[in-house]
Amino acid sequence: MSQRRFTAELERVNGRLSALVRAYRETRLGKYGLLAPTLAFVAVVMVFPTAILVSYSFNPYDAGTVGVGVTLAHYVRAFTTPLYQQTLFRTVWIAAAVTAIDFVLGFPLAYAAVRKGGWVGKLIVIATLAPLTIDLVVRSFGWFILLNGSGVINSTLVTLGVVSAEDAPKLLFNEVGIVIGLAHVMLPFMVFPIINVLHTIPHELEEAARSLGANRATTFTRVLVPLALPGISAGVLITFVVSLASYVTPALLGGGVRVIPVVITETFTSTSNWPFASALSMILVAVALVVIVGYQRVLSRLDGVGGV
Amino acid sequence: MQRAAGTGVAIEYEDVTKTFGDVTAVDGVSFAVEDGELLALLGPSGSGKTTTLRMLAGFETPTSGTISLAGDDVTRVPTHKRDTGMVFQDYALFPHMTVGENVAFGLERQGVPADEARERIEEVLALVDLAGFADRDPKTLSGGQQQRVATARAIAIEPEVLLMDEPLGALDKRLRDQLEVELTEIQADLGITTLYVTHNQEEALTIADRIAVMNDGRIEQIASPMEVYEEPATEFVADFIGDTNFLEGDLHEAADGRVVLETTTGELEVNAGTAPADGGGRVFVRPEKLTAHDPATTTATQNTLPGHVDRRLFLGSKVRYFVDVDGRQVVVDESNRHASSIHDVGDEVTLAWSVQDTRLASG
Repeated sequence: MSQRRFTAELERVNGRLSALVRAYRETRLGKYGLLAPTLAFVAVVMVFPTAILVSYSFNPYDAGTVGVGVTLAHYVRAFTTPLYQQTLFRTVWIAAAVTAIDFVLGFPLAYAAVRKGGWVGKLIVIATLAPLTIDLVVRSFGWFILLNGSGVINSTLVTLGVVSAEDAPKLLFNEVGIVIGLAHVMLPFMVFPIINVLHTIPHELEEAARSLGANRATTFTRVLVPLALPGISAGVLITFVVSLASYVTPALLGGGVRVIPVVITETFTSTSNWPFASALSMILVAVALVVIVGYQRVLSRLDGVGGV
Repeated sequence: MQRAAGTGVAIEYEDVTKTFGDVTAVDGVSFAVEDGELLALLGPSGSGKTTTLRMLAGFETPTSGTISLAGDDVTRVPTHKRDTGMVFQDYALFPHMTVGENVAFGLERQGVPADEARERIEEVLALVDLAGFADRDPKTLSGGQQQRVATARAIAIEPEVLLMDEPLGALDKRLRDQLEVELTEIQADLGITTLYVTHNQEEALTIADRIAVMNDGRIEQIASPMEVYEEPATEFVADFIGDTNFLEGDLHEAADGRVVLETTTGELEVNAGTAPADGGGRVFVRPEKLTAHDPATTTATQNTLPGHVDRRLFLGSKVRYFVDVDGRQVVVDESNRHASSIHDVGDEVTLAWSVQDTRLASG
């Protein structure tokens, strides 16, 4: 084969290969092939275990093991036992309270970070992010020092004469402790989506509203919130759902006051009642899904600006 | 909505200063705007014109001095309690509201009943030539249309003063010229006192009743467009507005009391009462005041300078010559009256102009 014929042949093969790759990319396999590793990973670490838990949750509990057969007993027990009802209710309201507190704290922070700019803005971003670099357990022990009966906060209050030692507020091993700890952990998840969306809202719009006679509150509700809704809704949703499912902070700061994730873990580990723990897990997942779907519905009904 | 012009002072700045850190943006500015008047704040960027305007809107608080609106001191009054309507360079229309809702926003704040508000919205939209646009999404409108919506929104609340911050700055030249005329017609029709910020001198000359020329946070001159152009108070104003030829030499008073400028190419008489004591100050003449003619036909009553045409720009209705006068360039604009009398590059010419147009740029 001469040099020239070889080159021509090479080009022909090369052209056919490129055409083949192009054609392959157009096929279904080609399009989804690139997604395959991610899909496989999600299937292995999420869908598969969840499916197992779903099936366990309908199996009877049989002397420390997962029994054979189908039963709704675990769900009935979860919904009819006052202890579990209360725990479920507590879990949801703690998540709601954390979300509300973080919105009230987070929006002004995000607003200041965006509008002040300069070193103030940078400081806010760094101060909001910094706690993420410290492990959850370490952070919770930090809260121990601050919140416990004779901790920094209470001893300061007593020293200042604000409260007497007997009347010092109980800030740890109850709902208050969980809410404080979670609000701290979740704050960046509220602040950053709002920072992102506020960057897209020109400051002039607020000035225009003000010059048209709107006070700060009206400017906030009629101009800022509607335009910031995509960021606010993302922040609210992430904060609520992650708070709902969080374990470490409530386990450490809640003491005897439990939330569902803590109960689930204890049921799995100490009583080995896997079917009941599975049912509780599914209930928690269902609550989160209901909230997400309902929330999206409400947002899409709101005029003009789209949801998440 | 009609208001009589010139019946009193609508806006008054008294020794207003604004500093940001160690930068003085506005430096002891004082001026007043008559009822119904359109005052243009003209200056290069960084001259303090926008800050001056924003202090009246209440977006910035003066470091010192007072600002009055219709006789009331509003220096510390919050924005939403001031009777001002603002038009921004980038329109600042609320993107989540229709055109009608944008206009309605201010009316709702004033508590105007819904049916009356609806009427007013149609009225102001018709005024800016956008009748029937109330249900449109502002994002679908052109820049010129958006700015007209913004203007309608600002005048719908019938403010004491209208504040416009480079309102035509984001538009292209043709649209700017058209809107310039429309905005001034609306302003004059309503007789609404207007403070108008621009860096565009042509725009200011066209639309303003008076122009305040700003530089370095101070007002250099505040006068009618014609006066600012013809009798600039400072060298900065002479240079910033219009094209200018500055002439240098020795300034002194002649024996007969005339002020003369001794140049390397002859003596020029200056339209000034007295020469500055220190002999400083420059003399200037606008390009269109000069004629370039054949050296043989000089008249004795005018100022003249000899030179030769260095470069020529044919601009259709006029011809611009760059004339070399003893190594110094002088710009001459002549209207194209007779194509046959246009000089060629290299021609020897005599520049002539009246003493009256030979002015001292004091300051």
